[in-house]
Amino acid sequence: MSKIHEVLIAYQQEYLSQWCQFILFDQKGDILVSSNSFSDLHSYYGTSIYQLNFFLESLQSVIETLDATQDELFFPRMEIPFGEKTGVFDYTIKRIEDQNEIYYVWIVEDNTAHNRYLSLVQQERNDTYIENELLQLKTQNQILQEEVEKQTADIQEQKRLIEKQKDDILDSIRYAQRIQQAILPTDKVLESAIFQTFIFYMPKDIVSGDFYWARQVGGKSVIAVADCTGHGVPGAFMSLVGQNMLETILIEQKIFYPKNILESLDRQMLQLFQNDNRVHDGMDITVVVIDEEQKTITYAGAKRPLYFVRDANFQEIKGAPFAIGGHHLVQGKNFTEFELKIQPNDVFYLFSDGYADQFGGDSDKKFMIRNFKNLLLKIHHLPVTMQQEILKENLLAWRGSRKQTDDILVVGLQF
Amino acid sequence: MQSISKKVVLVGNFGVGKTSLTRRFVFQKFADEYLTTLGVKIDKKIMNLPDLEVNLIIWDIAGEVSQTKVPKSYYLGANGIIYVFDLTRPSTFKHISEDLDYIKQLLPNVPYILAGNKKDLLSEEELKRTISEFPIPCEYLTSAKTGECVEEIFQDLTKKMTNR
Repeated sequence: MSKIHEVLIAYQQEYLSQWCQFILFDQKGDILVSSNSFSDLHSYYGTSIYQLNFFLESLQSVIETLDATQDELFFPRMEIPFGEKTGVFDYTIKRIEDQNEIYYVWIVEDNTAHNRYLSLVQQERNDTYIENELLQLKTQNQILQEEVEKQTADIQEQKRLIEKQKDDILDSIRYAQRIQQAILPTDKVLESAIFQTFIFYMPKDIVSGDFYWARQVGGKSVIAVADCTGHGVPGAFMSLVGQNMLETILIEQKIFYPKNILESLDRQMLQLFQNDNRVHDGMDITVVVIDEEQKTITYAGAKRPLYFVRDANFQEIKGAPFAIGGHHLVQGKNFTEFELKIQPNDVFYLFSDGYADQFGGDSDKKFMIRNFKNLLLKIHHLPVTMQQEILKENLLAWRGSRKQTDDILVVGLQF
Repeated sequence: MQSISKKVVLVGNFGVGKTSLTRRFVFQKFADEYLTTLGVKIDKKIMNLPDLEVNLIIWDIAGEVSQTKVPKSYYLGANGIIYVFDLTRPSTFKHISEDLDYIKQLLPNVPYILAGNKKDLLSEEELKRTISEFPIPCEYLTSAKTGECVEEIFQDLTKKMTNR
């Protein structure tokens, strides 16, 4: 018996009770001998095992590092196909050192029958686990979907409520608009006046913080153009307060001087809000009184100027630098009034700051006062209805698709 | 042409499609039926790179919930790792980071690739939602059923293993 057979038999003794195959190969990987074969390997003796078997091929570098300290590798449950079937084997690789010679023995233990049951159990365990997991995911998704549906329904209900509230609020504001429009003076107020009038009035929202007011008493026409703090509903409230106060000043107090009108207006406004420090609202206003008999126009302004064009020359009278009402701390406002003799073809303009402040154009900038003045100078000689139309067309072209910046009001008086 | 051998290990949870990916790559076949792998299945395929023939010896390892349960001997001598997870089962990609840390500890400097499999089972919307749940970015979304990106993951890993 050769030496290598002796080595193999010695190891075989340890596995006598098991169904094993032993293949002994040397450091180069050449098959030396095999025993207890499932198949006859005699014809492979002398051939490199690394070229025959890709399990060992992939471990060649690891096998070569085995030494006295670690001389064994164990690979359980290797599934190896045999034609249509699959066998399950436990592989052990042992390093053997015998009289300065190094060998490796590959021990193949067939556990196919033993693992058949294990395989079934494992398959069932995995199938059940995956089924349960997918079922759990499905249930979670269903719960999530139901929650999303519930939240969607809640949101839709909230949306419906908000839309209803919005409709109610808009209805109220539209009704308020009717009230505001009803209070604004009609064309008839100044129909017997000696001048032609146009009113270009374009609120930003449904109701406006800008308002105009006019009365003819005796031979005098009193006209005011005001820009209340803010716009929309708060502005509209202030405009109602302002119109009511002007009415009182003119009809009850019988004040016909613009300076005195502004001073009275300021006093009343401060008195009205004196109990609430949170309200600092007020208005910028232009007031003119036209005496038809004397052919004079008297002007006073609170932060609003008066523009007029005479003999094709543009002129401006600046108003006082403070507004009506506002901060309670500002006391003793002294308004100044200016009286002018009216000449034929004079055109006077009273306005809020909305037109000049409108954003638009190619660079999205304000229209600016300079451009507003130039426009008025260009159109002052035209009939009032045409002036109004040009102001509107110019504004819409400048604004383009942008939102309106503020309430807009321009009143023209042509003699 | 030079020829070398590289051991590639496929790991991941059970039922994620490791065997199907291997079968698609080696045999260009796919079966819907799920048959659990018991220990390790070994297959071989030659990948040709310019001037180099690479014998990929693919170790398809039985799936485990945690990679710490895989016998360490299976990882011995591995030159590359493909970590496979199932895009339809979040539990299979929840612990990627921990699993990769464990593998990197066993096999330092060995390149790896992440493959999210079963892409064919998800709609575009479901896929977007799933991707947003990944704990770390995944470069390959594969389908063993349609073959999508299967060749690419092995090709990419081969390049990484051979530094090409």
